Amino acid sequence: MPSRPLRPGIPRSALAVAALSALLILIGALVWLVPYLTNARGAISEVPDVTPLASITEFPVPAHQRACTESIGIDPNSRIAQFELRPAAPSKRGGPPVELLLRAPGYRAVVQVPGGYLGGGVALPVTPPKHAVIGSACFINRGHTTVLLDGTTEPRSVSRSATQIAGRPVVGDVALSFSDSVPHSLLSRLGEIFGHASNLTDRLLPAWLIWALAILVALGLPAASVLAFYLALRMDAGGEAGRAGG
Amino acid sequence: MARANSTTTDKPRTGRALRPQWLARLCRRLASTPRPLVLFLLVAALQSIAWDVALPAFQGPDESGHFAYIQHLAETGHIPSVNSGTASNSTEAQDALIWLNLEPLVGNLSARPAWSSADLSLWHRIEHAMPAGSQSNGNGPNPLAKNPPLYYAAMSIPYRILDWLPLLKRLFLLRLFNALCFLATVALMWMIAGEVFGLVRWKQALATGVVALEPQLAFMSAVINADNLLIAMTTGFLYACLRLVKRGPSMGRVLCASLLAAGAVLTHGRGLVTLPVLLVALVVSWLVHRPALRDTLTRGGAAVGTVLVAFVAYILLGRASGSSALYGGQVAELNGAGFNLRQFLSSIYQFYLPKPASLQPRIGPAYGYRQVFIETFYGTFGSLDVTFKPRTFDALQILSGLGLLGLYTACLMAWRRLLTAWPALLVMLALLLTTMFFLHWVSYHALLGDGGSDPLIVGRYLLPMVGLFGLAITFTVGSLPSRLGPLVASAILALGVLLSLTGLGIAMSDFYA
Repeated sequence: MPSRPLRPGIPRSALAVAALSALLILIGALVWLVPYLTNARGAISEVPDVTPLASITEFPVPAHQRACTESIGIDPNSRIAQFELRPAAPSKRGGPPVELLLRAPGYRAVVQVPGGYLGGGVALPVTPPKHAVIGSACFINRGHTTVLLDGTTEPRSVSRSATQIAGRPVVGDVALSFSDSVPHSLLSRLGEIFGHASNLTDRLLPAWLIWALAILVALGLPAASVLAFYLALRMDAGGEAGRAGG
Repeated sequence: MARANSTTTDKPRTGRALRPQWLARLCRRLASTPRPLVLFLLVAALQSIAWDVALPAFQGPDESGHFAYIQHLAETGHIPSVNSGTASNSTEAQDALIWLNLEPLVGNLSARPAWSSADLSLWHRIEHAMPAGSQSNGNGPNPLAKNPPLYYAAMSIPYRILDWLPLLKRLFLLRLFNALCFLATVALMWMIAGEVFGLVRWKQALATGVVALEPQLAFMSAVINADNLLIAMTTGFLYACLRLVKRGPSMGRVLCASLLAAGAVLTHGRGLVTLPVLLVALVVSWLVHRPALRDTLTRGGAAVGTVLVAFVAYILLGRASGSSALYGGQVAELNGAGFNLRQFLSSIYQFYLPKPASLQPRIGPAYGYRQVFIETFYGTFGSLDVTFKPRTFDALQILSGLGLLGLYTACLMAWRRLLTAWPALLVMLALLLTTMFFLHWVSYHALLGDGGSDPLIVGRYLLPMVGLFGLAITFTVGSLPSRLGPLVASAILALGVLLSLTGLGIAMSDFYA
């Protein structure tokens, strides 16, 4: 195929320019995107009650009493439960033991924070349910002193969970989240991530369609952009612009 | 040829032959659309759909408020109230915000939506148990009800069509209608570049690609927000004004520019910036083309009349819905007490440059050009919580600085050519300066009014000028040595692709992982 005459100002090969563009995208993806996808990181499984944006509220749970929250989501990857607590009054013996009881139809898990802590965040291993469930979480104070659980009363941060302390409803939520016990890369969790996204479209887009869309975007966006610029250069080189309308 | 002719005459009329003429014309027009533009439209459409997936419901800037406006208008035919009412959101939307953990998710990176299959089943139970009227009771107070109604009225049409769908599906599909504004903006950029640079396809492709691959614009295209229509309107308005000054003030061109200005004014308060630009375009067009007195009067009257009709319609509609002030009284507030010219000019100076010892500190938080022109213009997603890494912003700041330096150099080198193109240049400068002045003016007054807490200026407010962004980059790159220009252009487009993919990846990870 004979090469077309090139107009002044157009590179000898539009293909070379397109190749450069493709190469830059490839290098950028390898340097920038691939590590982002392949580096292992903590894997959140559910956040029933979020930590507040601005100010923390401390919920006091007296000795032998419990703070319970309803309607919390727990899924099969919920292997670590995270929350924050501290003794109400500083003492040499530290905070009282606190038991976390998770319950849902066909599911029950119990785990305990031993007494003697100074306060702060705890991450407790829990047995996850076999499938995603909606249940309740109770923080049971097994000690003789009051414990404070961190949470929120910010209207914007309060979730669907109804909270009761010592049997009485309170405004606000005790912050609680679940995560997997080992870090995972984003790449290895794509199926799970796309499943979450699918659920948030009310499954209008099933997970397989989000997979297809992701592949189309990852490959189609670079390909279409490079091809568009290549075709534009070819049109200039062939003098098409002089003939065709805008 | 003979064989082809005999084939068409001998055969019975096929479905294709029976196609209506208008459809055939449309197909011909579509088929003649330049392939690079088609591909960039495809890029834009793909991104819009991807952002729609990546962004959980109501996580765009003020999205629940914009949705509440559309929903109330579509369900009841009335605009919600700015100050009064029983509920900002309908019961349906508020329940979704609470039961799917979407409200705590807004602006909080440690939160996650209720995303499991059990959460979805629970939501279905809540949704099915809702009483009648749960979609139509979001009558206010809704601060976004101060916005003029054009966008919301337009979006209420697809809303009515999708009304039978459950909320999450309805919202997902409704968001896709924003994509039409994005696609229009991309196509208009192609036409603007053609108007400014002539039919040099690689320059058209660069300008269009820059717009199609602007991550913030792509993100916004998947958010229920009046900004989308404003961006498309203003980009169309820029195109109409450029044609007006280049080709003369025909009645069609004058009406087109003034209708788009009226549309922008009826879309958002920030659309008011088009009015001074329209005036500049009309005066420049008159100076260049000197139409007869009769034509001047009739066409000037048509322009003024169009804008006036828009204002009157807005006022009448506002009165019908119980609001008496334009833009919820915000325009009147801008002339409020406390204004100090020296302080205003000082606040603009310190927005861009370090504070000299002689000046009082700028009112408000530490907020300047980096936050607006770099961070929230290129890539701050969600409700300002999902962002690129600081080092990415550093790189973008350096590249933007180099680009500005290149633009300055290109202008110096081509000043004679620029002087000959003064009418178009004046229109562009008018849009740039009017928009920037307006944004600083509003920001200064907001800081005065709220005790200096919220500067009320973010990068997405610059997107109505995205056409100028595309033109500036293309002019600068086009001024490079002829062999180098396309190479740099291809690198810029490659960067756009990487930023777009990264933005989507970060959002997916921050919301769903």
